Amino acid sequence: MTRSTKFWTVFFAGCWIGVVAGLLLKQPVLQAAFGAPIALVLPGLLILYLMNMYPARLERWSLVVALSVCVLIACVLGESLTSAGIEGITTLGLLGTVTLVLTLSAVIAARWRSRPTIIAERSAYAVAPAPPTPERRRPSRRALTAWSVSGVVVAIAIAGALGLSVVSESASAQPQFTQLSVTQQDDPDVHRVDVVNMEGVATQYQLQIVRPGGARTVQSFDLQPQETFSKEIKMRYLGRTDGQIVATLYGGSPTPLGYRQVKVTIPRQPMPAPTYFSTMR
Amino acid sequence: MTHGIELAQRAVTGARSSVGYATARRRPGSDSVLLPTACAITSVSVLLIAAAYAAARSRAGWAPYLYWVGELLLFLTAVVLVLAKRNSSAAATCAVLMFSIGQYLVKICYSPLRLKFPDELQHENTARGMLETGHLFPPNYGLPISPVYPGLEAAAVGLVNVLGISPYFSELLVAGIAHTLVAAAALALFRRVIKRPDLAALAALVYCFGPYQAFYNSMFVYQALALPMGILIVTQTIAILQGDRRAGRLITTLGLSACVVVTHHVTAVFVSAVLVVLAVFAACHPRYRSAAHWIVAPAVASIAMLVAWIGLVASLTLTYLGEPLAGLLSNFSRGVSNLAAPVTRQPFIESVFTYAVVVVPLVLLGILTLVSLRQRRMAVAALAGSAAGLQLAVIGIRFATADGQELAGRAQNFLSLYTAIALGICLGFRGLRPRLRRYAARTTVAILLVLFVGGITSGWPPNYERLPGTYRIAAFESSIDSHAVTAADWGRTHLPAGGRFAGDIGNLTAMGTIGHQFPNRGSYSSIFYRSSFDARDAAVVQSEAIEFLLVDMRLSSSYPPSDSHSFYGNDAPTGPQQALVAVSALQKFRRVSRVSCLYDDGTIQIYDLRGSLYHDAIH
Repeated sequence: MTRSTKFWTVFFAGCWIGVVAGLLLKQPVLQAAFGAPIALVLPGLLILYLMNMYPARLERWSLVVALSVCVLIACVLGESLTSAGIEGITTLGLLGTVTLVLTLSAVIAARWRSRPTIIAERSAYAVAPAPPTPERRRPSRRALTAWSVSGVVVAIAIAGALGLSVVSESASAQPQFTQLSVTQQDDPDVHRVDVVNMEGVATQYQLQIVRPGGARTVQSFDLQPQETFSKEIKMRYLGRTDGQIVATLYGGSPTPLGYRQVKVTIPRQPMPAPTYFSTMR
Repeated sequence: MTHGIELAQRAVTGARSSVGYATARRRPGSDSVLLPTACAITSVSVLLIAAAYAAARSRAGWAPYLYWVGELLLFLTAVVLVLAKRNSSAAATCAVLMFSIGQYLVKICYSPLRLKFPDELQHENTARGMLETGHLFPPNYGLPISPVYPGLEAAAVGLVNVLGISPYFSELLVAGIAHTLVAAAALALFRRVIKRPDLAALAALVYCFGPYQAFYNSMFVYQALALPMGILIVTQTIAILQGDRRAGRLITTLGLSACVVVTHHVTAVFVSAVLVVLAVFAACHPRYRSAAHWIVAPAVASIAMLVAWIGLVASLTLTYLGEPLAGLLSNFSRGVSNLAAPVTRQPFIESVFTYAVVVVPLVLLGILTLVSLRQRRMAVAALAGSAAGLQLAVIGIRFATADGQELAGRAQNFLSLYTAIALGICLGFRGLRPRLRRYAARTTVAILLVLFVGGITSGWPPNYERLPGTYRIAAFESSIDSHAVTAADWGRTHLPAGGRFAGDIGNLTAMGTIGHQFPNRGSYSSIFYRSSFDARDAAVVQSEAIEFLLVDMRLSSSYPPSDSHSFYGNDAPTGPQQALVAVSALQKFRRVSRVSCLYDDGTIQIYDLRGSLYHDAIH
């Protein structure tokens, strides 16, 4: 086992332990931090190792990430075929199984990789002059300083950019209106009128409800930001023409009409079957 | 055994030559300062653009200037790093990747709290459906083809489950990985083809400057994930041709092809076509003829997988892609002169760059073809000539259909992979006379600047949405405001899924994605324009099977954007002056018999037409 292989083995074993610990301790940050290499690096790395492929660094890492995403997609597609469907723990389990199979295959492949080729490669190196190993220089003090300053600048700039964007978007996307709606409940004779205060400040409202036949109720109330007022209207309408429930809300931010209004049509009841047939009998 | 020795020797000499190249170009200490400085400047440019966005949200007039300063700084950092004479290939790689990451961060800063772009919302809806139902293929009324190509959403759902993060962060992560991977994969491909790392990096930068790369390929859309996989497939196939670890690369190619097939239809078709072209090339070229069967195998497998997927799962693809293709062909056969595609109105200077980004590459490729022919470098001449031909084809598509602007942009996304190689070679051309040589670097920077600025002005988002913060009715991301989102959220909670909605394009996008309703994009504007109920409107409602109406009071006060036909989906162009809707016309629905108004926030009203006069009236 080479030093590099040892490093990756220990690293990914640690990641698995971190993910399981994150799951058990219910620490999503831990799970996300240790899960990312497992989901986005490990499967691709194992596949390349299994294929005995060592392309140039850029191509290698592109392939590692792309193949890992392919494995993740395959896991989710496979999982959806099961009766349990796509669930958090199943995906993790399936990814773990696939990774385990790939690891075992890689170990077996490394052991049984054809011996003559190794001998041939060794002989080739014996014949050819030894490949020049790039000299590994220790980074200079100047480089260390440059990278340290750059790291601080990058961290501040990116955090500043994201923070500024979040703050300005939150301020501009803040809704400043009131939502009025009417919905029919499971019971067809029950309707519910909802008022949601999205004005961003405590607001005073007056709700006027007119029922079929003209019965009118008026109610005043205050709502805190994001608070909801609900009013259930239970009634069995027996009119011969279609009736209407009309809810008009005054208060809140100005509107073109000066109020908000919802209405729901209640269809007339079907005429009862005439009874004279039975009386004729 | 002899073969093994030869291979090993070749590997050794190859490695030595590449090391020699790197050491020849590298000067001690050059990267150690330039690279960290470039990283810092790139991040500062992102900060400047974020500040410009924040200023635009608070309606500051200087926001556009700050935006362009930030973009130019981002551009200059990457270009200087690639063109610097004392740089290593690692620095060129870093330049391309940093630029790509910078582009992605800019996109996040545009909309940091939620996905806003219509295409993203459509795919988010599919991912949400998969999480809710636990199975593939949930209904998606906004983009019905999205669930049958579930690769992107499966990746996002997988990350939600494995990392325990929210769907929004998972979608951002997938989009970010895909965007960076496109630049990395393109650079890897160009290095396989061009060999000189500086030219490959130039070509990769040219590709990254493309109109669709900055924003569209940063989005959570299926093409963004499939594209890097497709580029890697082509890279692996070329590596197979070059005789490098063929068996392993073949298996890798097959895996990636399967992933592309389940992720995006057009990319899968593009990849299959490229593999066929490469197989034909290998069969015809005496040097690669012995390796042709290695290329035929992935080409056949890719086509077989695509056909099987379309036949068994995604039969909808035939209609989805067939209709625009038929339109394109019929327009070509009828002649293209009678078509007037709506275009975004731009300031003069932006228009200059928009046209220059089309003309400049054509001129450069033409010059390269002529010079190469004179110097009898037939391979380069063929490359440049064919790239110019492809560029002309894109221009043809642009003017051949009514939605040519979008189609041409999408086609260029794939074809510019090829033209970028030729342009990279062209920009790195060193066969100039000595007195012209000193102008070469300045000319290269100027051309790259034209391509970069032209990519922004002709790309996404259109100029009226380039900076966030201003609401526009019947537009794209600028129509997704708090009114639209809360109304759509209400619709998802309180209305039956798949209700057929009519309304303006912007609100319909929100209702079709966040609201999980069917966005009816028919021709029904007359319903909104008439001031009172009319039996003809009832006929339209019945023929289009409209169940709900979404009325936005801002239709009476704001004009649609310059590149829209009207407020509504498929209505004939009316011109912005005729398009305002009277307030009385928008209010008439309250008076129509048995029409229920279910929702009112003062700006948006949702009407239920089921069982109303619109459905009962006999016309």
